[in-house]
Amino acid sequence: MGQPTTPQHLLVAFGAGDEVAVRLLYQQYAGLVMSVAMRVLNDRGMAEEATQQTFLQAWRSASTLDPGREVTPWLVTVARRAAIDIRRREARRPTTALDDADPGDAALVALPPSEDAAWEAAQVRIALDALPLDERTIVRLQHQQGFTHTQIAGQLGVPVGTVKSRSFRAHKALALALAHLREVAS
Amino acid sequence: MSNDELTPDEAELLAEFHHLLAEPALWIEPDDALEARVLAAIAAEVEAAAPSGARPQAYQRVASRRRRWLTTVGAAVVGAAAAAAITLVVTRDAATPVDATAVMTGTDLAPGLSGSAEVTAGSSGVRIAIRVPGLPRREDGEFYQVWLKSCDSTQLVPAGSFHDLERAVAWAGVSTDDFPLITVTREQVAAPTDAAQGSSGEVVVAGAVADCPT
Repeated sequence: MGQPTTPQHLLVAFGAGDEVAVRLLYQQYAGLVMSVAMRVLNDRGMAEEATQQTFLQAWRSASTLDPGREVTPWLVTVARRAAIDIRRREARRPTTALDDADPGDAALVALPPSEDAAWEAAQVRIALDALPLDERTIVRLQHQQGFTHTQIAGQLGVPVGTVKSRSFRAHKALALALAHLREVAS
Repeated sequence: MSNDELTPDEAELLAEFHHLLAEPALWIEPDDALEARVLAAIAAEVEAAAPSGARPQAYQRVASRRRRWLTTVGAAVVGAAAAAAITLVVTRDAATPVDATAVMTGTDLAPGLSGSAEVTAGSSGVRIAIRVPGLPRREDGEFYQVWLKSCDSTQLVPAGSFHDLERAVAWAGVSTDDFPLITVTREQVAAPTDAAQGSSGEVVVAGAVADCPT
């Protein structure tokens, strides 16, 4: 468990430039690719550029890709490299004084995530994307926003019990989806 | 422990991943404008790669389905070669190696028409770039079906359905060594268990990649 499979015919049609297949593949992977890029660049505009470069590269390479090969790890690698290339390009731009730099500037961030770290984060994103929207929303509000069940219930206008149930199901699914990462690490 | 509580292991695991679950980058969503830019960028490369004079189908932006996997839709659209009518655009013909070429000749149902089928073998099957200009376009539940056929005509393999064959790419998961005959029939959409799911037998053009034993 850990990643979605892509129908082989979809990959083949994507490589042939089929419009429907291109759109389907983009919609399937764009969120994941953009997450990978964003972790490297910490800038939405540049992450979008990296995402565009990733899908272009995917299309250019599709004819050489073995359709039997799972595309997700390959896309994550391509996305990370595209983001690093953009980061290097930006780092070569005229510099500003360190004191004037935005603390969030990508150039100030330490080394980009390693390939292992990028893949681990990608697995988390894949697990999140597999959740139903209502459960995913609660996970985001809990972890990213730090809200309690009661606060989430108030925000969403649903009973606290509903929030707790959805939270439980979501975290149960996440634990199952991510358990293999802990096994790999150990 | 009640049924609605995580086990200690599960809770510990999720605590380890909290830093990622809290990271804004993992929650970012691409917007519709990015989808349009990506599709346009690929369309530009498709057009640049096409032989001069070819007019690839324009990419049109559609409302984005946010983040959800579309494997079910994708499988329904492209999984069954004889079901959906997808118009494929031939791309990169100049760069695609060709293993064999068949002359496609019109039957009594398409008198005077002719074209070609270029076959390229790959690890997942054969790619058939087929071009028969002049076939009337079929729509509204009607389409053309490309088949590969055995020499004794007892076995058929579906290779794709099309509105027309101005420039199309078909695919089949078999070898033309075993199925050297290429036929195109007129078909209509039918229910899954309908006998019409098979070939109508109304062959409009036919050709052969290799000679059959006499």
